[in-house]
Amino acid sequence: MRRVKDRVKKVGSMDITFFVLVMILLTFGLVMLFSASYAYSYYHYNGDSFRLIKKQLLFAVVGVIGMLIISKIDYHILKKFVFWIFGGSYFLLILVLIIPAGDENGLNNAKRWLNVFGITIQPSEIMKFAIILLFAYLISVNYKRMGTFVYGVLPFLGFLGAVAVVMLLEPHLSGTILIMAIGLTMMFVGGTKYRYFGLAIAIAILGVVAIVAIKGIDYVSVRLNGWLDPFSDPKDGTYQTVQSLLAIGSGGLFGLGLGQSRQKYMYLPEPANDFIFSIVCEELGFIGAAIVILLFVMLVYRGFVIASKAQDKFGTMLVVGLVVQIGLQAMLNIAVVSNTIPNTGISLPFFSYGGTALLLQLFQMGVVLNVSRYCVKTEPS
Amino acid sequence: MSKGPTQKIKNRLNRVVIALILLGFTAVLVNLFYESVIKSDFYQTKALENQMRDITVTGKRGTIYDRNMKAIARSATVWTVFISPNDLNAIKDETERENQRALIAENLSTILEVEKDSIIEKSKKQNYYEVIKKKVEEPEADEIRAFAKEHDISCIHLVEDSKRYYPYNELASSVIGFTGSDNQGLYGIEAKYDEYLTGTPGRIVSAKNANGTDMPLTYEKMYEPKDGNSLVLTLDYSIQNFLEKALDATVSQFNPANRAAGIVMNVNTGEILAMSSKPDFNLNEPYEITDSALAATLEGLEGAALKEARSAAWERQWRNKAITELYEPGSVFKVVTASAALEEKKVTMDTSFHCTGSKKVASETMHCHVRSGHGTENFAQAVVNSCNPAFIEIGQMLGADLFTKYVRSFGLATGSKTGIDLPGEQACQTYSDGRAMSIVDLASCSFGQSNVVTPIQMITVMAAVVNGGKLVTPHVVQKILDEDGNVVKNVETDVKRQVISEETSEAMRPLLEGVVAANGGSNAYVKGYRIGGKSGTSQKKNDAVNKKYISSFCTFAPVDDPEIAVLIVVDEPDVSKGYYGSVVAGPACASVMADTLPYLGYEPQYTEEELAQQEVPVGNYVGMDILKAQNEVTNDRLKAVVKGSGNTVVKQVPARGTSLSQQGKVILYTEDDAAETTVTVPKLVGLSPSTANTVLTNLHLNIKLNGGAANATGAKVVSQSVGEGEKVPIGTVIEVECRTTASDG
Repeated sequence: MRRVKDRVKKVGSMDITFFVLVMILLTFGLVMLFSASYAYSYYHYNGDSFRLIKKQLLFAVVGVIGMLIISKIDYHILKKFVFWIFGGSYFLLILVLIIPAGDENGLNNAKRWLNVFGITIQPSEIMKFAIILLFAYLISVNYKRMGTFVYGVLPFLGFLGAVAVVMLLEPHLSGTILIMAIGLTMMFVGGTKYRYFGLAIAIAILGVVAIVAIKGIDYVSVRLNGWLDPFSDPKDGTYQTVQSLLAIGSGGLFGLGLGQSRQKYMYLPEPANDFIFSIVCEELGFIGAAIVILLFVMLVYRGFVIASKAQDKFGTMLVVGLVVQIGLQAMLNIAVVSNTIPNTGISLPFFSYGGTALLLQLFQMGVVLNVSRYCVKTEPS
Repeated sequence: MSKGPTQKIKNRLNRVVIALILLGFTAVLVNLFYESVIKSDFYQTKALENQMRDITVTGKRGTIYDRNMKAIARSATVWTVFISPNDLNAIKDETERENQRALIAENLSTILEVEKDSIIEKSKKQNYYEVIKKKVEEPEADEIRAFAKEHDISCIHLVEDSKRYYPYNELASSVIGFTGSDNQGLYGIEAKYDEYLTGTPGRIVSAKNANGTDMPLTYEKMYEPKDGNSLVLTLDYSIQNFLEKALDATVSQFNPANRAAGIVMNVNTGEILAMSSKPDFNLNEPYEITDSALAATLEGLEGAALKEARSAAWERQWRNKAITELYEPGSVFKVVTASAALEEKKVTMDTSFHCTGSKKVASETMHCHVRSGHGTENFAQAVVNSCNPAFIEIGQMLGADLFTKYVRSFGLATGSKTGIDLPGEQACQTYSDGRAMSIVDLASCSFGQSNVVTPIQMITVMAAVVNGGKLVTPHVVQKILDEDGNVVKNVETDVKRQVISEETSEAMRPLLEGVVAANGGSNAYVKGYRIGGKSGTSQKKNDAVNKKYISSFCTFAPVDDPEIAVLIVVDEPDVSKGYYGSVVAGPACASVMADTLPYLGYEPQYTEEELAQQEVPVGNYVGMDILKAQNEVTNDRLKAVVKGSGNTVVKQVPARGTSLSQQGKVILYTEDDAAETTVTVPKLVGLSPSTANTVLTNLHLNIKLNGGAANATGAKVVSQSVGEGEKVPIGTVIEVECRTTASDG
């Protein structure tokens, strides 16, 4: 009785700052998507320049409505479905290996997409949420034993390993890395001892060695060379990177102006997807790019403020996982686009074209907003 | 204990994790700054190379004007018609699309005379630029515009281009030259001054997508082309016409196997007032073979033989004979020997020579053109007689070294050119080094054999002989104007050197006037003007069996202060019609002088003798009392012949206004219905002018003598305006052409 009363009493308004940041990023993203997809749509959809933006806009509207609804649903309900959600997601990850759909262009060989009633979804996206949910639950339940290996490391490693195995079969390296990174961050925040992270680094090194062993030293050196000097062989694997750098370089400090990108005219492959940030740089320059990065950092920071004031550890860890996912994805995407790290397929949240991904991102932000409603007003002493 | 996050959680989150995230973003941001700002120029250049397509736009080619700003070559706008297949194929409705394709093919094919199938084929390609036809003229372009507008077709486009037009067709064709399909100069002035005429091409820089087609959101920048400079020539349209008229007449009369060339030059400045090679070609149709016999031969050829023969035929009709073909000037070259000897004071006007008709040099006997010999003659007479033995002697007085010194000084050293601003000028081949000359060589050179020069070199030498001794550089371009008409370059008179002294030149002028005016006037003489000159006839060495000659005449006027020189060279005239320079080329020189001197403002100054011969106009005597009429006729310095016994003049022959020589006859009829008295015209050709006059006068006919040599001793009538045997009314004017046929060496 008292618990229920307490909870009702503590339900407040959502964190307006976080909501505004999400809406700014979404709007910014849609404007850039329109600009970036204009030429691509024109050439691929028989002169219909509005094809992609129209679809994305529809998903954005549904997503925002969904976000607001979810922000009203008590996140504690999720606790009851933690294993169901994980189990379901894992099932989908196996299913995608059996009945994969081609992506939008039917070009990719990787088995990453599922076709559900005409809508393509990426099970790995759902798995990200499932892992965050699962880890938040595990940490909140076993918080006091997080220092031990049996509770603080083993279960997490088990789940991550199980997920990694199926995802690498797709194969989906970038998605695996992202899930690993999110999981490890949550473990760290949850209290896993530092020494185990040393172990993680050792395992990472082992992983690299394994990749070299499997793919051969030549493959790795070619990829590495392509990264360090993308112009060495621009016709082949590094074509995207080269075109991306040309776009970024063309933009300079202030950019060519909104809508003035030239690289989006068939030069830059996927200007609306993974490489939309190149178009941001070309049209809005370094200044525009820095503003986008700042917005993401602010979003992450505000998320951490919410996490720090969350009503319980489950809420804290949930928000940490969700905002770290957004932050890491943005960071890795921009790092790829600017050739800071080698090319992997990671999209930019709120910007890249992709309906289901955007829906999920917004729904997850709805969860964060819901957690913010239960925040304690003042720091407990 | 609170259910919320512990301090440890908050610390790890808000210190460690946030630090790591900030570190990551900072690293990315730094790299981004490096790539986008620091390396911006590098990437920008690379990107532009990738994205931009350049289309070169040529400026309008400059105009070529004559010295009075009459346009001789100009560029007019034409159009390149192209279609944009992608725009056509973007039409979604298939029936509509195919209907439009058929409509476009049908109409463009009709208007432009292009294969319909090829248009359809082009329209199915995947790009934005398929040329249907280039150099489309304005009327067709308008038709296409109207068609596109009427059917609301947006995939047909027209882009401006230019085409060269020569409004006067053949005029000065070998000098002006023509252009190729890309408006590049190929021949003549068009080629020589191509870089001035072409101007600076502009560019259309447009952004292209990776497929190479225009971007729908156009990024296009036009760098305006700069129109070419215009040229103002030294040529004078009118004088050019005078020259071409005279050359045409010469060519049709003497039918030279190897064309004829003519030059009119200002002796003081080197400006070429006219230059022509005949027969020539139409500048608007340079590839049309003008020689009908040659064209017929080509008809029968095929393949490589046709190609070769056609190229040779083109080369033959395009070549500017006045500067590209070497010839032996013959006696005209004697001006070099004579002026050198005067300058070196080896002779005076009174130096005496004796000609027996031939002269033995070493073991060779060299003949004079008058086999009987000129007898005893002084230097001036030797020049007028063009006496070979006398000139051999003059050459020997000079010696090989001095002689060749003047050859060199007149710009005729082997390998020399005048430097005229036209392409293809040939260098002469002469004995220009005394050491290489035998006594026989010297002998033949001194009367004009053995040395071959171009016509432009010969007239330049003549100019130096008479203009006070200055060797000038001949040129055809006077000024270069920019597109706004400002003078970019002015061509000044270029005097290479003083070859002979002012005094020698002054002495040479009357000497050469003597040649033209000799014995009452040669064929090159024009009444009322003081004209000097020298004729030349040279036998082509390469063929001793069939006699082939080059006949030339070079004259200048006025003798007291020379302004212009005229050179006519006729290569291999029909020997049966004549071959002496004075016979073949003299009349053309006279014709050009007779037209040009009044055009340049020189009033004729008649001698007393000429004044006595001056024609008078016939007045109107019809309706007058017979006595009064007779009085009037006498007052008009004419003679009246009355027919009938009436008191009033009812009719007169010739009609009022006709020019008659003084004391010519006017027939006055006094009776109505009286038939005109007629007489039969006798044969006059072959008679001397005075005999012809007597014959006609006795028949009550009037005579009109034509030709500079009409008063010359030994002149003969060569043609008559009314044929032998025809009946004409008494009083009719019969025109007769008189020529001397004297040889001239």
